[in-house]
Amino acid sequence: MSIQTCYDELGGNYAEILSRLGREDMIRRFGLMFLKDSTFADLRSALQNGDTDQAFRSAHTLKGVCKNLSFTALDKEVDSLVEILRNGHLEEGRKQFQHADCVYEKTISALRRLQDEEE
Amino acid sequence: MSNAIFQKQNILIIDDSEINLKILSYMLQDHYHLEIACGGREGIEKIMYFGQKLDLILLDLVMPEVDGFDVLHEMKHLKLINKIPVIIISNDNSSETLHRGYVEGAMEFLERGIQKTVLLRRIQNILEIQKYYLLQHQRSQQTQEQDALVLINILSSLVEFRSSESGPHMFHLIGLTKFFLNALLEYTDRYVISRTDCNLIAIASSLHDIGKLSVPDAVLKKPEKLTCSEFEIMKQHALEGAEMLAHMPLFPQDRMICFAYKIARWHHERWDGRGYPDGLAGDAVPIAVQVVSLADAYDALRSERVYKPSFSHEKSVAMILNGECGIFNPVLFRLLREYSENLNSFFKEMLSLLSQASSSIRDLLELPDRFLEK
Repeated sequence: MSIQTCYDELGGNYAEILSRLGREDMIRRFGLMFLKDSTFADLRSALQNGDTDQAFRSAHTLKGVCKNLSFTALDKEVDSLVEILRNGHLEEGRKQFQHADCVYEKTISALRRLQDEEE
Repeated sequence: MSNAIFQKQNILIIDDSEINLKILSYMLQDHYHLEIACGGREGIEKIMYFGQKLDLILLDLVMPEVDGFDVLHEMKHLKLINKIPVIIISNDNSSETLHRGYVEGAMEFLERGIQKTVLLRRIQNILEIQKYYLLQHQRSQQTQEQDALVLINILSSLVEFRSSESGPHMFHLIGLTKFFLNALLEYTDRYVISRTDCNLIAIASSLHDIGKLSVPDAVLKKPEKLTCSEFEIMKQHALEGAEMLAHMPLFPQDRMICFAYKIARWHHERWDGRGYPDGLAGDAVPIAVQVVSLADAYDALRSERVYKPSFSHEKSVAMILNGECGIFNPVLFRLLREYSENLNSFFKEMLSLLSQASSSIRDLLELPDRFLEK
């Protein structure tokens, strides 16, 4: 699987990330780092625990990571979640999280395939 | 980490996301020395550790426990907010956040996911602005110092004219005060004085006897020993000088005049509290004033006066250490012993410098540095 294919599958902007990082090996390196990043898990826990402030912080951080990695599809869902949680709407946030979770799973799945095919 | 002029500049990146830190580091590593801090707390620790060795900070806003605004507050508290430019990197570009960020002292905002060439250019722009600002600030300070020096020259010439003291005494005092201050800061951590203040204190020292303008000629210019009542009149010059300086329009805003006030008022106090006019003891007399008193004593002994010949360096130091010129802070006595040879060399070089028509006060203020590498 090529990096570009991976990015197409996860709904990312390959041209943009290539322009930012300049090298495919660095895109692969940072992309696969996302598999170990715990921010989405922190977001999930915070929503489950009803901690709106922590959920907002995690969503905000996750949005930054998505922007940096040009994970456009996931960024779009997380962006909506950030605004909902900024205004303190926990229940609405939990609903929006379901959408974000779907895209997250797609993202993780594509990255895992990339990792597996490498090894 | 160093700030040598031809080396890379130093940037601290503060973010709570490891991926963000690594991506930014990757984008900047070929162009700058980088330090990273994972979160606001570590960010503050590194700011406190590196201080002004940092040329710029890239700061995330939303972080747990200690966020970006907390970091900006701490920088304000550390008086570093105007010294190290901060660029906030955040997706939050709401007007409230922008407003708060600028009010708290950030210089610029950058959004996440920025392209590398844009990031590098925006950082370089900020660094160049900062460099320009620092240069302008230095020039402004130098202009203020020069204006102060013109004033000093006029006032101290008046005092010299009236009191018939040796002409260059005012300049000796500037040089000696700067020498002793530099030596003190090298010798001990007990006193903290900035380099700017050392220069201001040295310049201010030349006004220590401005109060003599109010002393009658009959007392001021008497070659023989003064009677008790004449001495009481002479002693008034300390309070009179302070009063003159306190009535200046620039007092108390101007830092140099504040130093001059304290020096004029207290340069005859003694460590044991038996001086005048207020009988202050120990470190109740600001260390700046104590240093000027020591410089004044040394120069009085080394110079010819109407009532005495000039003494050698060795005799002058011995007389001061014997307590024949007043009781000084034990730290200053030890300082005089420790730096005696440096002082002797410095004094000779200072006389040589002052004999050159082209010498300036700036040269005099910079001269002590050459004699203090131990």
